[in-house]
Amino acid sequence: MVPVVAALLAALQVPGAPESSGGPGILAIEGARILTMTGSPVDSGTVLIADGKVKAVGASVEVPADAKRIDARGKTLIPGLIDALSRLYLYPEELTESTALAPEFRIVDGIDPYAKHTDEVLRYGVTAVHVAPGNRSLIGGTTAVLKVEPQAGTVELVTDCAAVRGQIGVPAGDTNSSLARLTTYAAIRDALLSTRDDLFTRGKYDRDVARYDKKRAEALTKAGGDVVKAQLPERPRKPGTDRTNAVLARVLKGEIPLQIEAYRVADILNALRLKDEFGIPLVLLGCSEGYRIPDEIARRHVPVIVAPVSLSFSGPAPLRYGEHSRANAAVLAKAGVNVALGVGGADGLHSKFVRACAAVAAANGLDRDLALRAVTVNAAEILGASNRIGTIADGKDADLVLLDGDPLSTLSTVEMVVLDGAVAYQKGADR
Amino acid sequence: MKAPAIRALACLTVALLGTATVAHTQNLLVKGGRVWTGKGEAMEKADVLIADGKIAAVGADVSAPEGTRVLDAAGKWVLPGFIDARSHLGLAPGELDETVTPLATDTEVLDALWADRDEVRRAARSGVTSLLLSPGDANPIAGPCAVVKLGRHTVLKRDATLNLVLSASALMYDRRPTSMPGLLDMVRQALADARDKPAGSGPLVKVVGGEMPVTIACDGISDVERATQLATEFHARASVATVEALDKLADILPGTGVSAICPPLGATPAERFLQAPGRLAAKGVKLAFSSLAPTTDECDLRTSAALAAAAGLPADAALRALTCDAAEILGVGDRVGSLEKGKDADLVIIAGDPLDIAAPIDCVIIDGDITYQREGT
Repeated sequence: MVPVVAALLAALQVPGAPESSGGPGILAIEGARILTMTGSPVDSGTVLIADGKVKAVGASVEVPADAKRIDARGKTLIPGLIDALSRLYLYPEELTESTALAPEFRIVDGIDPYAKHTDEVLRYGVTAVHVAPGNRSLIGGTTAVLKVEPQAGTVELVTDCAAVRGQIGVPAGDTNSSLARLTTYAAIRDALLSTRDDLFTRGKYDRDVARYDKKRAEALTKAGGDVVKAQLPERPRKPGTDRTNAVLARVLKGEIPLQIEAYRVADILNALRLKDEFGIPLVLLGCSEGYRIPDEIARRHVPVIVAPVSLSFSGPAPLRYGEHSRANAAVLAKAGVNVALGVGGADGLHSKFVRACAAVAAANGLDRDLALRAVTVNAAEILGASNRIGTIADGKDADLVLLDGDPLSTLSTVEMVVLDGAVAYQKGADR
Repeated sequence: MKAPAIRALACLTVALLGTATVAHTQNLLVKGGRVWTGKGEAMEKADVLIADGKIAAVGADVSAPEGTRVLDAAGKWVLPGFIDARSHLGLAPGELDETVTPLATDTEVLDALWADRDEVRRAARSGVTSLLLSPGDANPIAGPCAVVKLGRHTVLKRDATLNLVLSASALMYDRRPTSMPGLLDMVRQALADARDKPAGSGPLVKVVGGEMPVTIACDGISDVERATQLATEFHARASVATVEALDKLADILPGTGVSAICPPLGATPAERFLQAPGRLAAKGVKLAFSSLAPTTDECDLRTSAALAAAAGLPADAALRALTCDAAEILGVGDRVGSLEKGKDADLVIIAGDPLDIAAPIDCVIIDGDITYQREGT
């Protein structure tokens, strides 16, 4: 057991370094229609894989003689699917903790590497999931993107800090209390205000100290190094307790996005006001009534993770979702919003329905190409993970799904899943 | 004193005009689609003629009277409207159960129906044209269920089925029954009374006479076993609805004549649940799908069929479960569930394979009215 745990910790501590490599050797998937999600599809192309990464993609890729070849003629190859809102790898109670403001919490510290069902989710072509702290807290902590592993015991991080997760009006939504709704907005605003104040005070102190150091040095030089004779300036007073929240400070500096879970129009508008006031990068999560104010969201260039897409996948439909519409993603995308889809499943196993969600969105007006992008490249971009996942391109993680037909059609089946360059599932191989 | 009379006259006029409008429902010809009637193979490039809310003809090159509105269905699928075999849609919260009376044989759930709701319209847009409106699960005999239409005329059949509940949800601490044996005894006694000394023509009498099907809500597998025993004992036409024991139904139902009402499969993602409809169909069990709305999404009836199909349910069986098999289980197969001359004109037109979730619903017709038409079609 020990080596597994050690390997797990290593994987957790070194984000960006895949623990499971593609193994020795080169893999070539040949003849498939490749939807790279970056540029136009390649009708009959080859993907070359080595060391867990894509080494080459295109219609005319030279395959080394020692490569293992997979004949994929007549099939379609897409990047591994991403569930932009999942509960995979989480213990159920992870989502009910209720500290008011805990931006420093990290969801990666609470994941269960022995979680069940990961293999089943993987077989549906889902290779990465976005997991987030619960929404009972106003700010629940930082979210993460994890690979979906075929075996229990290992977890590979894509990023341990996709965003800082907060919520506006979520628990209030279950009682539809306007007061509770305002309280959540005001508390998050307050946290941002005090962090900004603190950043300002800190910044001023740092500048004052720099000025002081310079003046002191000058005075000393003037006095020939004699401390007693020198006319030394007064040392600036250190501000009180450092209340600066390092994580929120990073949000204010624009380094990581604030991801606000909000469903109803009032709550979404409040989230947008936070962006207007603080100029922070904002991602909307949930956003079920976004279709009512698509232009408000679009003109601020705020990306949206639409979740849930279908209330059947998310468990009993709480009041909080407001007027849920299946056309939500379509309306937002038409207004120019960058949209990702999350299953928002009641438990981790629901993440297998990523493709079904894209299909539901497409049947309700989302452009078919965009529907597929919403569960691959767009999701990766919104989650800050597009350097590794979401597209089939040179240097990207070799997470690939091979299907026997149109990837958006639920009549098509997943024939093979490649994770980090290794064949993690092959239809008919094990069952 | 004259005012009421005038009002009454006005009402009468409106009623008459209303009737007149209904009588003149526009004739429709759904032309050139891939028509799956529910009876046999799909017909390529076939037409469906609709007159007075009913199907007037189905086949190749159907001729329509002059002035008939034509809907071009070339390249599209044309099917009977979907039937949701168990739903509480349109019932106001808190109006599901009369919990004081455990044997609510005469409590009409229909009286609580509130059809003018967004979720009812949304369900119609997803292709559902009829549903079994069921009371909640708080009484052993929860009352008669109505089959309602999601169009202009809501009631298809008032006392379509009787809803029995053989699960712990029907036990109360302050009224009988308080235990499962107590519950079974109560239900069995009520059915035996109706059989041995029938009085009137209430739902229970119709059930033991085989006129009215029972839908039995169950939790675990032992509840299902009791349900099948009860159905056999009283020769009742029965179906069981369970979420928890769906994956075990194929071990119990085959050979009993009892049908299965499957819960929304999107809510039960484990493979053993997704494969359950396929296993049931393989063993000859008739099945239907249900939404259980508003607890889950009312728009996912087709999603359930598609997920089941992807997990092994043959396409034809999946479509039958959505349409004609559901109609038969609910005892309304004479009116809905298939595209045949004389049946209600409830149709769904889909731009693609109905079992592909990504294929959009283009048009929904209920009783000959175009209830929904997708933008740009």
